[in-house]
Amino acid sequence: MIKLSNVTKKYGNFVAVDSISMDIKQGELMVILGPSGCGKSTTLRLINKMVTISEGDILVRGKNIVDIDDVELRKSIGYVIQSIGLFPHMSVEKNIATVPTLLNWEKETISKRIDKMLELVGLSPEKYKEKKPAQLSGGEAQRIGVARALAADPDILLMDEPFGAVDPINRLRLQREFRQIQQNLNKTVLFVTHDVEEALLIADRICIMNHGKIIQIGTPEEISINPKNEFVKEFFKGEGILSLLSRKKAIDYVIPRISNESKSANDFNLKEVITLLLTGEADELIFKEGHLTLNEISRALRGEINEFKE
Amino acid sequence: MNSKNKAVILFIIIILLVIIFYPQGFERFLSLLVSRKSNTTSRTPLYIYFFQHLQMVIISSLIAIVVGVTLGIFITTDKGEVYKDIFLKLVNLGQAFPSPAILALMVPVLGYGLKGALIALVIYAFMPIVYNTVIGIEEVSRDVVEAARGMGMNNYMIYRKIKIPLASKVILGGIRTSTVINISAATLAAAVGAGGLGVPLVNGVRTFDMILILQGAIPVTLLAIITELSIKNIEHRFDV
Repeated sequence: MIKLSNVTKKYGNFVAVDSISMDIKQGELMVILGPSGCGKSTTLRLINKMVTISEGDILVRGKNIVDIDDVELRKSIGYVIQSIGLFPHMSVEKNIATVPTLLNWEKETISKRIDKMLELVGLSPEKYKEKKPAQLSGGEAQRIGVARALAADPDILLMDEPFGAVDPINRLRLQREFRQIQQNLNKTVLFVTHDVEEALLIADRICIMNHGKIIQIGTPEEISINPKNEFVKEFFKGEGILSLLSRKKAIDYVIPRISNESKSANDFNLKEVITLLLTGEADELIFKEGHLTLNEISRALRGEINEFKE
Repeated sequence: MNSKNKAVILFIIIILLVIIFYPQGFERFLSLLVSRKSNTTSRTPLYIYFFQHLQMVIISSLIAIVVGVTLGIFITTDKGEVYKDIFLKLVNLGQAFPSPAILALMVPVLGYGLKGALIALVIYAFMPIVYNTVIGIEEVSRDVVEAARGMGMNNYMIYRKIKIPLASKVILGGIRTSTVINISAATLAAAVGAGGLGVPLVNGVRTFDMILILQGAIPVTLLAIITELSIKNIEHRFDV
């Protein structure tokens, strides 16, 4: 879907992005992770031509972006930035309608689309349509930012620290919801962040960058279990494996057993289960589908981790 | 707050109309005020001066607004940025130059009359408009512009839908300052024979006629207040 080959961006003598190559597949959520100034945002902005490339090629949907008109390319790619950049003089409705209006959609289609987008990000259309950005909380504004980026149904989304300005509790909710939306709609996403936990939670694959170069690309498991070098190890600070637990669904680990418990393991991830086991009274947690104990979880996980070890 | 504002504006307009169309009454009122009678008899009716004044202000302000906003917008674009410093300096210079001097300098070029007065007023009215247009546009948040560009707006769209609407309030502030200054500066036009409310004022100063001075000065002041309040009212519509 997006293919970068030996892409370089220079500002005078400074090399911001140094000959990087990556291939992002249709429907994949790729996170570019790295410290500030590592070139991750520049990489993202090269793709929608907000920054012009110095060397190398970028192909979007198989076509070299040099051959695509800037404005046309940007209209076909959703874009969310950290500060969101909602237009303060326009209502939520008008903000969401931005790209559909640029694409000359019919009024009725746009109006229906606005309602659908608001529902998608969990905000009631009647309540929010008329509001101005100044009347929204940080989390709400961020949702509108996502709704606006998805409004014209682009198959690709570029997101630059989209949840950076939201408080931790809301951030976690937004991250989960966003991941769900992305999977349901099967969007290809390139997501830039400096937050390791965020990357581990939402990514299909993570690309770690430093000083304009790619250090390692791989699934969250691959990277956190086999960090390529000291930099990656230091960056993850050993938290990797623990953070991975929130990606794992409890249902995949339960030992089947008939029970009359009403709660479902589908609603829990491993991190939550372990927290409950550590803080709760009982040594085992019973679900509708079966049960889980700390011992059984650790045995299963150790096996998985060994599989990943090279 | 808004309807109260409108009532105040309406009230001042009524006072102004009464003064202009019933000058005998106004003169009698002023006589009581300064307890003296005007020694000048038969004059051009006040409303003629008033409409000359209004005409001068409207024409010069409209020119200043159209040219000033256009110029202001131009020097914020990529193409115009090169000229930004030069233009802002020139505009500043025009403002710093004493306005009677501008007027006087116009006389040998354009002769006595309206033309010279208009040019001087335009030069004078220019600065706040150009300045505020530039500031208003440059103050639009970079993130908002970045988002607009990233979503596929071209430069023209960014100006039309984002930068200019967001700068409107600041631009209107410039237009307001400029027009109010212009209303009082237009009294100087009497010196070059362009008429206006400056005529009774200047005559009054020459003959120490308090009533004549006030007959020119009070309508000018009222007009300035009405303009100030009306434009401020419009500005509030652009509150975010």
